[in-house]
Amino acid sequence: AALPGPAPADWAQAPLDPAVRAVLVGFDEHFSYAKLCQALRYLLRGGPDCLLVGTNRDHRLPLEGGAAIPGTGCLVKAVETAAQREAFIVGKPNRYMFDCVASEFDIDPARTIMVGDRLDTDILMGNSCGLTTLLTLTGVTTLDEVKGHQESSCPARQSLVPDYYVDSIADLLPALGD
Amino acid sequence: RGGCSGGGMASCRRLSGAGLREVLGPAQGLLFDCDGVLWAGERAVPGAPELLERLRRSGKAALFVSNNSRRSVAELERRFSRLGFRGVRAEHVFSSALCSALFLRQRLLGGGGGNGNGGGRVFVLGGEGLRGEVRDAGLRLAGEGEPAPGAAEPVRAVLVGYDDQFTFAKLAQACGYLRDPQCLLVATDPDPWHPLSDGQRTPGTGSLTAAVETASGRKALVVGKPNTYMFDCIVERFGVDPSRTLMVGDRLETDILFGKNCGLSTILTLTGVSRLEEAQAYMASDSAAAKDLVPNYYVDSIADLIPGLDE
Repeated sequence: AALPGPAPADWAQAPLDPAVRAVLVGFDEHFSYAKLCQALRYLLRGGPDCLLVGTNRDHRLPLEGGAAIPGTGCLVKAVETAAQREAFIVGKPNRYMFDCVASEFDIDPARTIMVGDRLDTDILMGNSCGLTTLLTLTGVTTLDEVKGHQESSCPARQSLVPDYYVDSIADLLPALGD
Repeated sequence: RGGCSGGGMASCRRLSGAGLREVLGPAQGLLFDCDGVLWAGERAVPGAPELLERLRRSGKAALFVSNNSRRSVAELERRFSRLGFRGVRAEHVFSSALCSALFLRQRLLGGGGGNGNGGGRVFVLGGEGLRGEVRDAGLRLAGEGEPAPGAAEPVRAVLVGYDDQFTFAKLAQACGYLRDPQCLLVATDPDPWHPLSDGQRTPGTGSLTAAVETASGRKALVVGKPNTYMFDCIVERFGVDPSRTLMVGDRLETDILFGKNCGLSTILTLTGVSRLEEAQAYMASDSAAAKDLVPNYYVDSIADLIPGLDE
C-alpha cells in the first residue's frame, strides 16, 4: 500500500492490515527504511502472535571478481535489531529444510551425502543432521579455511569441518558406474 | 552519603528531599540526554525549562549529550528555543552527528595531515543534518549511486547514521567501499529503535549498522553513548570534572551505561524509554554487565530536581 507521506511519522500512521500474522524476510533488493518501519509495526502490534521468519542468514552473495552484494542475512539482522527479537531461520544451517526433504523422501542420514561449497551453511547443516558431508572447492571456501577450523580447539569450529572434499563435483564421475 | 562518586554498585534510589540536596549540592554540572528527558516529540517535559533556568541561577553548568543523529547542533539550538528552553547555545550541545564528524575529522584529517589528498571522502548514510555536520568538519562527501570505487578520490570512511532513506542500493554501495580495509566503518549511535509520540517505535541507527556490519564482515566504531567518545569531546571543550558531574538520561542501555563508563553518577528519569522495573531487574541480575546499567538514582521527571537547588 502507498505510504501516506514522506517521513517516518507519516508512515507510522498508515493503516496496518489486520490479517497479517507473520513478517517474512527474504532477499529484497528494494529493501528500505520504510519497509523496515512497517515490519517493526507489525511485530510490535502482534507481539509473540506475529511470527518473524527469515529465509536464510547468508551475509553476502559473491559476484565475479571478488565483489559481492549484501545477502538476506543483513536484512534479517536489521529487522531483528529494530524489533529486539530473534527470527526463526528456515534456511541452512538450520535443519528445517532437511526435515522437509526427509519427511517427503525416505532418507537415511547414514546413507546420504550433503554436497556444498559453504562451511557455515551447507557443511554445518549436513554435520548437524548426521549426514556425510562433502565440500567442493568450486565455490566460496578454500582448503586453508577448513584447515584453520580443523586445527582449532573450539567445538563450534570443528562442526564446520567436512568429512571429505573434492576440487569439483565432476571429480565424482569416475566413482560412478556406466 | 552525598557526593558524585561513580564507583561501586549503584542502588537505584529515588532522589527526593534531603537526598536530593546532598546529591545536587556538590555538583558543578549536569549532562542531559534530550529525547525523553527534556522533551517528548514536540512537547517539553513540564518543568524542564524551569529546571534549566534554576541550574543557571545556581551557577551549575548544563550540557547536552544526545545520540540523535538527525539534526545539526544549529538546528538543535533552534529546537531548544522553540520548546521554551532559554540560553542553550549550539556549543553546549553534543549530538552524535557532531561528534561523529569530529571523530572522522580526527581520523581522516588530523595528526600529520594524512597523505596529502585532503583525507579522502566520507560516504554518509543519513539525512541533511548529519551530512551538514560532516561538511562543517571540513570533510568531503561521496555521492550516492556513484560509479565503481577508484573512479574518483577514495572513500576513506562509511558513516552510518539515522537514515530514513536507507535502501538496499545504498547498503551495497557502502559495502563496495568497505572492501578496502583502510576504509573506516563508523556509526553515530547504537540505538535499535526510538519511541514515537503515539507509543509506536521507529527503527534506529543500530538496526542499519547491523545490516552494514553483516554485509561487510566488519565491526563499526560506534561514536555515541554508551561509548565514551562524546564525553571526551565535552571534556576537551569544557573541561568537566567527572566526580562533580551528574548524568541524567532516560535509557539504561545508553545514558546510564555511558555515565558509568565515564565515571559519572547517574540519574534515570522516567519520562522516556526505560521503566523502573527494568532498572530493578538489572539490579537483581547475577550478571556483572547488568549491574552497570543500574542508575545511582531515579526521578519521575527532571522537574523533581528543582527542589534540590537553592532558591
